[in-house]
Amino acid sequence: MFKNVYLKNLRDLRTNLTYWLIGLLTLSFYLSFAYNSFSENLESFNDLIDSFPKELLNLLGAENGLDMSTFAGFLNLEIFGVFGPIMLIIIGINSGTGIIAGELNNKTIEIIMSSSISRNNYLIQNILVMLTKIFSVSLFIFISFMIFSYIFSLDLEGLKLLGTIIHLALLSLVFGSLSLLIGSITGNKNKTLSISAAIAILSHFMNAISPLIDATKNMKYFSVFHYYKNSNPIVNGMDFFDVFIMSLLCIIFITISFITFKYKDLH
Amino acid sequence: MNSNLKNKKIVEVTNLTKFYGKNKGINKISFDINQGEIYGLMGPNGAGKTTTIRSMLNLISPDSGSTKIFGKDNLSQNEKANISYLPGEYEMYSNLNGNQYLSYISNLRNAKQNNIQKLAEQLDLDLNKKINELSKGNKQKIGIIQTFMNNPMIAILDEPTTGLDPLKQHEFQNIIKEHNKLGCSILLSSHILNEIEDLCEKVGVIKDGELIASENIAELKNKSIKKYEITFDQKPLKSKLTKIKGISNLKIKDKNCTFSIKGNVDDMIKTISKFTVINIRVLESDLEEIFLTYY
Repeated sequence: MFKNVYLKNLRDLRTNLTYWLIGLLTLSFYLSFAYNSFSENLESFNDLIDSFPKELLNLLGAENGLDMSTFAGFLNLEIFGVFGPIMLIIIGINSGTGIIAGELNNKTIEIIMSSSISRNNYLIQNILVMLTKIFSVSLFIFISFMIFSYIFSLDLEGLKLLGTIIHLALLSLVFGSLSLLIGSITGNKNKTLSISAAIAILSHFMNAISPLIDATKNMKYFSVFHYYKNSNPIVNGMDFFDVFIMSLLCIIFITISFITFKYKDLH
Repeated sequence: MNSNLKNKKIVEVTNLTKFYGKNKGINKISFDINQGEIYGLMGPNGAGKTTTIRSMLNLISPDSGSTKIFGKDNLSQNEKANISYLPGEYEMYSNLNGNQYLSYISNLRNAKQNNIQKLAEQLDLDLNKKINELSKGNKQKIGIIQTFMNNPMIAILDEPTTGLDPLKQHEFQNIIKEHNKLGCSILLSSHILNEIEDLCEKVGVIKDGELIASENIAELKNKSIKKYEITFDQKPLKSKLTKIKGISNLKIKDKNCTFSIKGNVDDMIKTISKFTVINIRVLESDLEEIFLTYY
């Protein structure tokens, strides 16, 4: 497990990923069980939600409206609206920050970079670790909901859930690669975490609030949340254009990170 | 060590310059290290020793100047495996134990073998303990092991004995001497003058980011202030002695007098020859006194 940077960092993730797996299994069991228990009263839920103002629904992460009569609609509110993105963005930002800014902060990078590993190789292996973490947690979410929807006989289309999970993983990766980039510029862990979190919050509100005001309605296109959720992937399946835009953002952020890290003073 | 090899330059640092914004970092630092040589980089904290080392290792990009190692400006990843480095602020992955950490670093150097166990025994260190359970001194021992575990051709050590007790400092010096005998060239940065004096053949003195001297320790001592103790047949005239060029700390007690001279001693010889000299003793100055002449 200590052959290279990827395997060593993967080993460090073991405990972390185990907790995520347990947590997500518990969460998906609980939500599936809860939905199964009150599914008979869903019509009254829908009536209640219909009475909510659009501004409130936007802030709740339900820009596309809410349909509590299906398990997919329920998951859209409970998981994929706000909670899931927050969870995955935290994972992304933490992973991206740790690669350069975190190692600089811990003063562990000097020894690594004075060994035989090149800066590009170091980044590639760490980006693979970030990808592994984000896609593992995303996969846990997919698998656990598929298992419990089957156990509780809930109607959930696997392909559409998979599409949503891909949107979610890419949202996380966008913020992970953005943090990597910010870390490669600032070299400071706290600054990187703060700036990345601020951009995430701003991005969320830009998507949630700007469409409500005529003058700013097009601002949503500058928010990554628009590409994550506005196509409503749990209902419509994966949106290739949105996936392309989020992938492109990741590629741009990561490419610039390679350039800035190459010339970064490590001290 | 073969004397021809001793003359082969293994590290050539030329006009290395690095500024941090408006702040001075290092300015036109130049020195060479020959194969099998131990070169001491001496200076107080903040003088520019660490910046010099980081620039040499490309951990920071110098504004100008170059470092050639093994005659090359840019080393391949395999060639880098022959260089080991112990940073001044040495931190490790605290969730690993000593064995795991050292294996990891050894693997990153693509080293086929290591002498981790031998060095651990020499330094009396338990490598099965988690790094976050180790004392500062024991962490420093891991640093020393990682420096020499792959028998490097060049070892760069930045303040290596920080945190070590005197006994372990001695053991560390033995490890350095042992690897030096095997052909390892060493750059030792330190503000501990005794350490430099005990280990190094050549020394560079850094002051405010500039290398103000780079010479053999013996030559440096020759150029420095020397102390003399002279016994005359009768009490010498103070007024004559005070006129000697470069004299300081003149003390006369009966027929004995002691003083220091900076620079050449020609004027001193001419002056004292006017008296009858019974005995003359040159008191060797230590590195600390030499160091103080530069500061």
